[in-house]
Amino acid sequence: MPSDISLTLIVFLPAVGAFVVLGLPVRTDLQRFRVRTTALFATLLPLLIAIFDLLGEVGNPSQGALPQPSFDAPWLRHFFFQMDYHLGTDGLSLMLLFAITAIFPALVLASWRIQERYRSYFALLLITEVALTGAFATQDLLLFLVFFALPVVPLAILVSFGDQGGSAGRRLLLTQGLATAALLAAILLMLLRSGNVTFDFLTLSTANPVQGAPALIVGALLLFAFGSRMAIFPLQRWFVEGVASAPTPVAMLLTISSLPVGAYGLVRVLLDMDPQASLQLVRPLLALALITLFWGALAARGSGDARRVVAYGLVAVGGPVLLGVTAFSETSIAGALGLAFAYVLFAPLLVLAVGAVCDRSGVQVMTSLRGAAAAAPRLRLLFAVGVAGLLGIPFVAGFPALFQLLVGSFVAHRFVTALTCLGLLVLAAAAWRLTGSVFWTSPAEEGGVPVADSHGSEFYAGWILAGLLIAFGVSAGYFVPYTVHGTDLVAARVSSYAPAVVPAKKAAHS
Amino acid sequence: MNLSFTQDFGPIGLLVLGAAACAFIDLRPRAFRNWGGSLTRWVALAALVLAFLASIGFWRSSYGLVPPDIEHGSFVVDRFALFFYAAASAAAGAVVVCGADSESEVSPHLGVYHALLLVATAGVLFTASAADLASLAVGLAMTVLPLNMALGLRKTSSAAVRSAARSLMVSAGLILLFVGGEAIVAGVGGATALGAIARHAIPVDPLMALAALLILIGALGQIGIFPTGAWKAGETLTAPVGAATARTALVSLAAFAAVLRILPGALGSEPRDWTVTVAVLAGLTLLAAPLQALRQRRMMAAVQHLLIAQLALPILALTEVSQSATATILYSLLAVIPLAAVALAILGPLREFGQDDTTNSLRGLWARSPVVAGMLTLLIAAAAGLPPLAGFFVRIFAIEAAAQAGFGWLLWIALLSGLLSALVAYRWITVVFDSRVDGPELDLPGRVSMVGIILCGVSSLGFVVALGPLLGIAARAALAPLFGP
Repeated sequence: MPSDISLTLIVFLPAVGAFVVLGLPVRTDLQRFRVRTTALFATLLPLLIAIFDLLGEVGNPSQGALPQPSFDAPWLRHFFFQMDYHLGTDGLSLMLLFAITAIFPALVLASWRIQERYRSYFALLLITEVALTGAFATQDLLLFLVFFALPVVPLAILVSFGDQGGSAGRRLLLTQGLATAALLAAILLMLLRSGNVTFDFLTLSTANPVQGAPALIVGALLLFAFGSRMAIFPLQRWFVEGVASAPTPVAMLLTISSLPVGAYGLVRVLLDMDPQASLQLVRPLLALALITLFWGALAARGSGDARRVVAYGLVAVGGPVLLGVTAFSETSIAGALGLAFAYVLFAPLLVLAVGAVCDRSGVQVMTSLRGAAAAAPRLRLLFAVGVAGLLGIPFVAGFPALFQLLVGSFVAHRFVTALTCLGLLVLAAAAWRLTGSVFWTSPAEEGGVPVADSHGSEFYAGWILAGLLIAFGVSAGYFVPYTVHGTDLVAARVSSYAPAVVPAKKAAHS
Repeated sequence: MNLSFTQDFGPIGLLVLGAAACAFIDLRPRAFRNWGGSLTRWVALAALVLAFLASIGFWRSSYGLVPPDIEHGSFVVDRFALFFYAAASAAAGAVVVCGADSESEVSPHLGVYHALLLVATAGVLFTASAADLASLAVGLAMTVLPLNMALGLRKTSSAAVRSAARSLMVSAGLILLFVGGEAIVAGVGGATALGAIARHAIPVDPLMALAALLILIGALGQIGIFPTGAWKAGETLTAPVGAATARTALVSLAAFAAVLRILPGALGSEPRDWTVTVAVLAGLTLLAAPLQALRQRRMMAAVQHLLIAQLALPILALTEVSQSATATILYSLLAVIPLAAVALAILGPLREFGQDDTTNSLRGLWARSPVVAGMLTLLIAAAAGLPPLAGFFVRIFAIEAAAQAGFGWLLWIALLSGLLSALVAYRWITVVFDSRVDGPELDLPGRVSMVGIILCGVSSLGFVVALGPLLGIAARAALAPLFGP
């Protein structure tokens, strides 16, 4: 039985680590090593707690419907509204929370060789972990907003650490600042129009939602907020520029801070708390899903910059996720969340492999990178596992998620699902182009210099990610039922607001 | 002989006595040379601590459901007043402690500076306790004028003296506007006692909108709400940092105490007369202040404008006449005070070390002085109201209050203002974290200042954790009626 305090520890231990890191000296190599080691421990402890205290819950799928464990303490009472310090995980959030805690030690290892601003870098990294774990652990909407907004400035600062990161950092701040403002506006409108005085997820998911035109406004604001975080079309530029110009570990961090949080927010807030708007927005959502997928895949196919190819390819993943959310069935929603879960593992892996090649060769242009990884079999293998995750190849974590998503969506939107399959083929072509020209070809005859292979901390970081991607792909049967149970209630909630469909024969008779 | 008034006036009396002692020490420096140059600092601090403890003691003795409020004519000691007593004493104490490193700016008149600070603090207490229009104006003047005089104590800078003289005149003019607004209220309400005005059934009168405008600009214009923002923040660039910070903290408290006593207090029964005026002023300030902050090349000025933007949020909450809205205003004032003090503790020593606070001087500060840079980051993030700091919650509560009052459109302005403030914060934080390193390595602030910084930093973070209890205290202080028993 998990203890009540475990989630608090998972969320806030990295914050303690951040304060400790800020207080450590960094004059000698040994002192800098201590900073890195402290950061590593601050990320390993939440992972250990998650493994021993939370992961056991997955074995009992029926628990996925309600938050377990749950820690609820009143924070604000007798005011305009009530606010609770309420943490808990259920089928919607547990696996995402676990993936985030698992990925951060790998991120610290990938950051092992940074050369400057040790303390600020690792402190900001740890604060971002607080924000991400907090977003998945909270059961209070206002607290979710706080954790949604918390990583924006740290991420913008981290992105601006890159050589060309200044404008990317500003763009990130502006876009995500607007997204936060939109979410805040949506929450306040929801509160004012529905007459609810609590932000508790459980209460809000059973209370009467906003009705009529305000529901649509709230829905549009939520779509903007979470779509922007997911980097769907046309709000993807901050993400693409960030991944293309930030230092490689920061670009990895950027990927896990984007789509997973946005997709979770869409399911948790838009579908569960504004079901009417979800139904009214079906067509725009489907259109956005297709445009995001095709635009991302085609841009990846056409781009000449290796990092941008990866960034556009990751943007394209937002399309299938949106489709899964829009199909409103427990299978498709579980598939969408599963894809977000797999994304936490394969996206940083792809960025790591391509970033390593670009960093070592000093260029990002694909024609100059021809065969650059020819002498780096480990990097090639890491990249291959990442691509397998992206395309949903069997035995990696992306496969069960994509399968569920497509099967669940096919019932509701056959034509769009078929087009999505076509879009995935275009994405595969883009991935094949990058694979063929950089990783699995011989170096250019003039000026082509193969880069050194992955080793040391980078090697361990890559193999942690690849190992998790494969492990979760093989053991999908263990955790998928838990997620599906979590999505049951959401799907039922949306369906209960759908207009009753009159059977065709009966309608003809009448 | 009833001597209970000595007890009721205790905190104010302590401060006035402290001020007299500081002035005396300053006038007779030879007699106290063996006590060290910073004797007046400790005298001032002792007076403030005693005043704070007395306020807390009074509060605890009146913590029942029905407070045993004390009234002496136009002077009342209720929980609303006691909240300001404690907040003002703590704010002035924080200014004294955090300003320990920059005291040389006002040398050789440190005693005069501390005396003026104590008189201004007594003015805040007087304003908070006033139950009469005339007393409110007197209290406000007692707060504002000494602090504006203190702006001119930096004798090495002629610009500071000129700026202080101009500031003094403009502040006096604003007080005249305030009195003009009060005169209209007294004319329409038929009395000067706030309780009598509240009981008087005031007819709907367009003049009340003008009165509200004059009162708001007269009181809150002192802290830089639209249209005085650019001028008020500009004054601080030449003034002694301690005096500038004290003005931000103490004048905010006095101005809001006065406005709360009059608008939701005495005129709360017919809010339609004045809430539109409040909403428009709040909206304009919310937009103008962060835009001004974006233009600044000096951090002190940027922080001042950000604090003005933060202080526009309680004005937003003023549109709703309710206990929760008033509690929001009181909580937001609490959230701003430590920020002003930290700004002093960090930016004051920078000036002492011969550094200025321009973008070029602060570039790459992280590599040179990580502790100072970390504190600056916390300061600028809190001043911009970034999550999860207190300003973020104040924004949510203020928007909620405005929406409850029927001013939903202010939601969008408040959100835009928050976004602009975040941009300002980002700009300065990236400067501090820049990899290009300009300038020498800076020493840490002195021991006394560090204590102040740590206390204020902890309280900035603690105000979020203790959100519920603090709002509970603020709600008790905001219990109607706000015009005395």
